[in-house]
Amino acid sequence: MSESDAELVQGCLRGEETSLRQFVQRFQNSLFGLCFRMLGQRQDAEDVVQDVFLRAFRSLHQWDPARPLHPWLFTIAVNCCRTTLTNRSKREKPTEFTENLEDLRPISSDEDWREELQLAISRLREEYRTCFTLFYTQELSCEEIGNLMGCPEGTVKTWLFRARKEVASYLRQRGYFTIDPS
Amino acid sequence: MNCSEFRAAVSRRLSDRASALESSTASGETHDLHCESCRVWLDEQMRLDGLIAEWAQNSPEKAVPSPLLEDQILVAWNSTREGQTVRGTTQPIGSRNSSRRGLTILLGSLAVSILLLLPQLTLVNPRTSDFRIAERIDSTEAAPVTSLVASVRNVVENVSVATPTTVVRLSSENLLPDWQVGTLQFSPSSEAVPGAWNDVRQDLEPLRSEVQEAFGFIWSALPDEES
Repeated sequence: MSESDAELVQGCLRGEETSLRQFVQRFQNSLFGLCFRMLGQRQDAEDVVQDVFLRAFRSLHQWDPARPLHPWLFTIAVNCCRTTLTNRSKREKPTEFTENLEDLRPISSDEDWREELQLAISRLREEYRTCFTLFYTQELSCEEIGNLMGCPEGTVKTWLFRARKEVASYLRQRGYFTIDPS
Repeated sequence: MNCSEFRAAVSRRLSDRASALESSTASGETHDLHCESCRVWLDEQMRLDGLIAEWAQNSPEKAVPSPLLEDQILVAWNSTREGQTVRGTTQPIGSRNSSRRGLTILLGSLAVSILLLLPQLTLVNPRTSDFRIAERIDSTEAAPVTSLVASVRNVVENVSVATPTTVVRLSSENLLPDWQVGTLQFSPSSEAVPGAWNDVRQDLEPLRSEVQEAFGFIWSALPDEES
């Protein structure tokens, strides 16, 4: 934990406007990146980030200064994203017609393949998606992800392995591995 | 090292953030040199590593939030904080005390009501109330039924009096505890009943006994004549 984080938190607890603004500026990009990759939609990600900051401000007095602030915020963000994903899964799913239209889209550029990868990730189970995103975009270790998600490190490794396998399977179906890499 | 062991070893090392190529080298390069399927599999893993790395790094423009988000968060926090202040600390102490007083009065009156109603609830026993209803029906609305029951009893009584076995009499007494059956004397040669009827009664006796055994519960359920 850097000392400036603690000072920032103290300023936020005192209700100082500049500290609150600085707090948001410091963490909003990383939190938004995580939420955007987990949720796949910009508007949902912004809503969740706002919710994360409000929850964090309300609970800052509970934060243990002996522990780093960033993972603490990530934990809140992951929980909010999981709640959003759960609520989203309860809504109506897209029809097969739209899914087939999506499959007909030609894939030519690297950008397209990155979008295909994002699509493959969005189809993963919620636990797999969370592990995958935290591991590859936030570069957290399996142990850190386990602490964050409240599960053993071995479970995280299993989820990561399965997520990678499912993503590879999807990309194989889409023909990614048959094209010439050059 | 067989194929599954090789792939498991590579996957384990991938979770330690090693690349697929590094993992294969550490796990046994001799295996993938000789195994065609594992070589294809490893090639896929390496290409997947590359795509994931591009995905994680080459889309920062999408991972930047709207510039308005910062202000939105602070406005939302300020409005939330003001809302908490209005609901919590700025509420006058007098009004909070009056709320507590009102709640106390409400709970007290509720307790008194329960205490007052409790004895009445105890009196309204289901059995007692049913009995009272039965009495009311007998005395007022069920007069024709009562008279009919009385005439039926008279008929059955005559039959039981004429019965040549004391068992029937005893059962009749048991069925009609309030009746004066026991005072009547059994007389097989009673002049009240002609001899021809005696023969008929004897013939009907088994049937009557069966009917009385089968439907005796109805008899016992009939109301007393006095009521």
